[in-house]
Amino acid sequence: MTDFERDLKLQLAKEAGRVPGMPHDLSSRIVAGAAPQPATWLRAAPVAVAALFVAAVGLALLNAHPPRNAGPSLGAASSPSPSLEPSPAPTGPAASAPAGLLGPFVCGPGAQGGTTSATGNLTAVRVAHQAGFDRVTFEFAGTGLPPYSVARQAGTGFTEDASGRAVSLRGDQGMKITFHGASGQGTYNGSTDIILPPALGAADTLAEVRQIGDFERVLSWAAGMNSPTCTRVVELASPSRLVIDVAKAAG
Amino acid sequence: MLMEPAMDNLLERCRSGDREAFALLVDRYGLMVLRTARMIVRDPDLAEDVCQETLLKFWRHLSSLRGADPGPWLNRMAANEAISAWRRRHRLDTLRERLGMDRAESSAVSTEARLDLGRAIDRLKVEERAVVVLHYHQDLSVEDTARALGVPVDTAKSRLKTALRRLRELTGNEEN
Repeated sequence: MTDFERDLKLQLAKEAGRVPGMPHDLSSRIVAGAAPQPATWLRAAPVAVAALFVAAVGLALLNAHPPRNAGPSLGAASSPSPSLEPSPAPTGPAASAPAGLLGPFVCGPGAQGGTTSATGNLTAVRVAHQAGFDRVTFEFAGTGLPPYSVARQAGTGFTEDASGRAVSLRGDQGMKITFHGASGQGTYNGSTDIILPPALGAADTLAEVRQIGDFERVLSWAAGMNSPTCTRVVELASPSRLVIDVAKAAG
Repeated sequence: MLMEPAMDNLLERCRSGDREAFALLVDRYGLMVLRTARMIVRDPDLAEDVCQETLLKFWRHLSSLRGADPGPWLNRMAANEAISAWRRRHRLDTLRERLGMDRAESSAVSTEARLDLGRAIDRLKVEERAVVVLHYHQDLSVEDTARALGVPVDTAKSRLKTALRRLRELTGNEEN
């Protein structure tokens, strides 16, 4: 590859970086525009009709000829059906609750993951209040999501790497996120100290997200939270992202 | 640590009409599609239209989609949608390109002012930009680039060569 071709690659990477994230309203428009799958209805309709027919015939027979020692008629359900309501966000230190396809919030001391051989260059950090949780996203260019660890701690005091300087974030609970084989030098131009405005009418949890180290390919960020809550850590690809959702306290 | 839901599981849920699963796929691939579109059409609003159309086509054609990873399909669709959308938006430019008018005018400009690389990319034909984006940004081989755009390999090679020569001319970075 010639120098000119390398410059061209860099230029294209720079242009890609100018689109830091998927606009929320665009995602919403796309999902709203997804009409029900016709094939699904066609597939499901005969099965549903057959099931209703069998259920109706069975019910009629059972009501006409109740078996010995029979309990209540099947016309009156005796066991509650599963609730379809979403589970509330967890609030206690031992709680964990299912939260749809992204998985449950977990209230343990931390998490780790990533790809051992991957190296990454940080290109974006996004932080936002969402309904029921706050989200911080780290986005990387490179060969995948670099190995990372997420560690919870009491208090928001951290030590900067490599200066050793003590820093204190907003909030009273802390979380440290460390990436190995990663750096933001030359690729991340955003803020390194993100302070979140309180969300209106919500018990916002995430108060501040700040870079506390980028030295010898060890990249460290810290988060300050207003209350001890549970987290959900999700890895996403294309581009590589680490998403940390922090459940909001009920109230 | 929790991994993202398995892709085959997500695709199956989408096929059964689960829009929550589709929202996760939009979250996972939307940015890639948007960036590809933006680099080819060079217009933020048009890129959003391309992104929306690409992902909705994906939703509509899920039942016929093969393979466990929809990424390559989406990438291919995004590039082709971007070319079509750009042509619709710039019908006059397309006509000028076909008549060979743009090249003469652009050459005249290049002798007066050297452009930076970003502006030079703006001046490429949309088909050339698509080849450049797929090959140099997404690291597709020339063969895969040709396959993605539905053109013969020789055509992709020729577009790439022309695009590079043109970019060098426009930026004053002549080949040694």
